[in-house]
Amino acid sequence: MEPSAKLDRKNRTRIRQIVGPDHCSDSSEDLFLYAYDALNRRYLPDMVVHPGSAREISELLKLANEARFPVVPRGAGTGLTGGSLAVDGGLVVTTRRLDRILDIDRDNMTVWCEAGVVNGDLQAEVEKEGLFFPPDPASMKFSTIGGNAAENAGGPRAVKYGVTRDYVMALEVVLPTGEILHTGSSAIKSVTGYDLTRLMVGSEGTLGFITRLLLRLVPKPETVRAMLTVFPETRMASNTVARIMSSRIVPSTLEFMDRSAIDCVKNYLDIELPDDAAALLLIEVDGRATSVTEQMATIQSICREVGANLVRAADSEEERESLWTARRSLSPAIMKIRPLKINEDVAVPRMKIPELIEGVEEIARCRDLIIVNFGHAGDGNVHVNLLVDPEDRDEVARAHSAVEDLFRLVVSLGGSLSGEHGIGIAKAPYLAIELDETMISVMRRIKGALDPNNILNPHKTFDFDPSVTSREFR
Amino acid sequence: MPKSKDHRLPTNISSKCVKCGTCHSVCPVFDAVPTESHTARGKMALIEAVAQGRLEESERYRDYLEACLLCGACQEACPNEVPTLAAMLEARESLAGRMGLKTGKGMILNHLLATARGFRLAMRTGRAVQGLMFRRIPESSGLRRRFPLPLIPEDRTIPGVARDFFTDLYTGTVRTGSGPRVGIFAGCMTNYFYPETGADMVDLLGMLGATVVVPEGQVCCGMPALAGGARDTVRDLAMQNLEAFEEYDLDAIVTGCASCGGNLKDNFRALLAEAGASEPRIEAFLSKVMDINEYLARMGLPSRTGEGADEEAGREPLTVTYHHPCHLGRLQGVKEEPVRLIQALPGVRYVPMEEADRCCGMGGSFSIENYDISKRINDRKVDRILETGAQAVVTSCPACILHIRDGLRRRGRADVEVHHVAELITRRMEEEEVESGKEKGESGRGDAETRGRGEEVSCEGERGG
Ligand SMILES: Cc1cc2nc3c(=O)[nH]c(=O)nc-3n(C[C@H](O)[C@H](O)[C@H](O)COP(=O)(O)OP(=O)(O)OC[C@H]3O[C@@H](n4cnc5c(N)ncnc54)[C@H](O)[C@@H]3O)c2cc1C
Ligand code: SF4
Ligand code: SF4
Repeated sequence: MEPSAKLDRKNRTRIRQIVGPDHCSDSSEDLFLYAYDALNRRYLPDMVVHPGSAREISELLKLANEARFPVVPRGAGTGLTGGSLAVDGGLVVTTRRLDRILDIDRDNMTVWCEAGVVNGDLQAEVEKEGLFFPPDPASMKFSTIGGNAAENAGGPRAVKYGVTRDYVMALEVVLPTGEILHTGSSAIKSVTGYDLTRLMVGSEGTLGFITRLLLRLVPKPETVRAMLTVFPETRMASNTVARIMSSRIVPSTLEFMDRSAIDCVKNYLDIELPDDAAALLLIEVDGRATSVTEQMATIQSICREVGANLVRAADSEEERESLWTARRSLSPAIMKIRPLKINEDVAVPRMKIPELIEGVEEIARCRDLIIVNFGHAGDGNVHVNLLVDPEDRDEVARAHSAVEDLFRLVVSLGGSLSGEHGIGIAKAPYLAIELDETMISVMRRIKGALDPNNILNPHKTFDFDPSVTSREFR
Repeated sequence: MPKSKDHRLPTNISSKCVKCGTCHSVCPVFDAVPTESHTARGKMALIEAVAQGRLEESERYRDYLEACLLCGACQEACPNEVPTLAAMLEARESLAGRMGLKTGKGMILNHLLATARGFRLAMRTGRAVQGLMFRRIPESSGLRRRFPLPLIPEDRTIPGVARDFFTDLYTGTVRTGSGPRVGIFAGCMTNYFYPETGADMVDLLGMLGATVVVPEGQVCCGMPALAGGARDTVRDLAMQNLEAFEEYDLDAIVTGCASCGGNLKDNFRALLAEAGASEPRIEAFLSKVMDINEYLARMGLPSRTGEGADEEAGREPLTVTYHHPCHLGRLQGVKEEPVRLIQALPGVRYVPMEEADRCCGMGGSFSIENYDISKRINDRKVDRILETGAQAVVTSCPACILHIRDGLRRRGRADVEVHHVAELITRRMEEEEVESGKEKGESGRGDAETRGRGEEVSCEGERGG
């Protein structure tokens, strides 16, 4: 492979000295291993390192500013928008060795951990102490807390508990220029200075390299109960959600599937579904056992009143699991229709979901595509999945037009291009559909102030450059 | 290194992987050494790069590919149904074609496994010299090495080569009964290291009234060679086995080795076709292949449940937990049968184990090349076993037995017994005979069924060995 001009021999040696020879590589094999994330595109970095401390990362960034090579933070590489890809080469810096849970404080209900800890591992550890870390992206068993914070990830529990942002109290961050910054406070209330914690969360690795996080925890709920309900009309599902919320019940999960999604999973369910199933809701309630039972009863009667043609509560943990198999089997079931899935995680105000679904059905008809919708009904975050055959050029082209149609529709409904997955390179070309000039210019100025040499994760989000990203290989 | 003429690059099945990373959460190797090269996703990416001609098949590439137990957990978890095992075997075959087999391992694979005689010879030599090289560990049949040997690390306990091989003790028709005609596919581990498991299978099948046959010409199933990329060798082995079992008119072909069974079921069809066997011949052979657990379940064993009986008899049952071998539970989907069999045994109380289907860390040659990682994976298995508090752990694969025994010993817990299902059942059934014999005199409880079995044991149950 061509040694890139970005990293000459001298700099490679200095990098090796900083992290130690066992923790870096520029062998072709290792470069191929860090050329992708879950967006499934390929860009080879020039070198990969696994530093063991914030100090080492600081030295790497100082060197990068001197020598002007890109530095790309990487957690588990499960991002869906290409955030951890070295689109312009340079150095990939992983958090693999920053994997310690440092201190679980039961009384204050907080935990300090390093950025490379896997979300699911953290959850298991704090649950041993009777505590609970709510952010639950579907990737929680294999994505890192650092990556979750950088993408502000969320999951089904967001409807009740919020997203990663709502649980980050303080951060240790290495700035693009190499200084180590400590944001936030261990006190729940703190208004001293700008809220740089929130600035860093969701910044997709472009403003700072997160090395440690102080996370807020909550008591572990006593019980969780689940139910599944099916409606003959999409609007009924939205009305149900609205009525549940206004009866002062906040479910811990409100997952939604549209007609095409239901068709995909029908065969995976033990339950016989009614023929006219236009929308399905998977609802969970958690808390004290007595109140959970009451809330379940209320929700069930709401569903029936609104017009559900199936209401099924899980009485045991096994039954709850079997209801979830419907949701979990969705992904593989979808892939059976077409080999390529373009997943757009748009978000609209909750009550606009029926309009969104109708609009998407219209787009699918006009563009002659198969589109499957499911997502989080409680917070209006819908996964719109365009299914295409990558070999069929015309279909791929129609899908790209459909994505643009979709984003315009979403913005016209007062929504957002991405509810959880971020912008990266995948959604960057469409950013201007949602954000105005002023917004983009302010973000540019913030980036310029923190990263004057554009070292950290360049060419992502508003800094997108098609002439760079077109250099991928397939 | 020499590049063989018929070197074929892997096909593009690895590109089915969409890089979601789900497989990270189930891979035992990644859990022990969390680096991208040690995941199916990473391996798919490397194989893809090789298939596309972007990456050379280098030593490092080989090391990465071999850092894998072939446990199949990734394939099971993959939401996109990527055939990771097939992709990895194909890549290993391509590697072997490109670089030749590794010395040491390559030698064993090619020259020893290729003919039954070669391997036998090696094992005989092993048996003769093992006293010189290993010191025997008291209170167990394990051996620990005495001076440096290339493949076996110092702290590893491996079983001694058996004094008498299974296929020497049992050849041809070894039991005659009125039931189905059952052939035993022994497999190398059982044959050379654990012949007692084979003997237990013979006894057990005999007790159930089967005519039991151990076809003479049977050889290694070739799994180690296949994992090493020596597909040509395995084709020959597959053919020899087909011919050996064709000699007899059998209703079922039963094995007590999860890996052999998995290989026969998953890979033999293609291998035999490549070797030129006709479809009806292949079908006649493979349609009969099953694991001993499947056979027993199919024959209606267990016929009684043990629970109440223990209380009645006022005895302490043996507490037993079960480890699912990857190649039986995951690859062949045989999970319920062994557990049901154990639960039904009199004198036994089954205690479930957490993560019972998680790999024990053996992975064939993986544990030779990567013993340190293998030990870490095994430690987790041993933790789960010890948490159950069971007196014995039972499984259905001699390779798992070897590795779990090694692990328990390393942790100073050699007191926990490790058995093959067939061994446990046979032992319990034999003890029952004694018990019910005693009881018969006192309470007259010995029914016709039990007596019938007792007679079969007494007239045919002589174990040679
Ligand atoms: C099957 C699947 C399901 C998913 N489900 C969800 C879901 O339900 N909800 C959801 O929100 N997301 C989901 N995702 C997307 C993805 O898992 C999340 O974005 C996750 O937060 C990424 O974490 P990671 O450790 O893999 O980060 P990476 O992919 O490695 O990186 C993501 C971004 O964060 C940056 N980054 C990583 N670590 C750091 C750090 N320490 N400091 C600064 N920047 C950093 C990277 O540069 C990159 O821009 C899913 C992905 C997959 C494959
Ligand atoms: S087969 Fe097992 S060890 Fe190998 S990559 Fe898959 S999960 Fe990991
Ligand atoms: S789970 Fe399957 S698709 Fe996902 S990374 Fe692993 S092998 Fe690839």
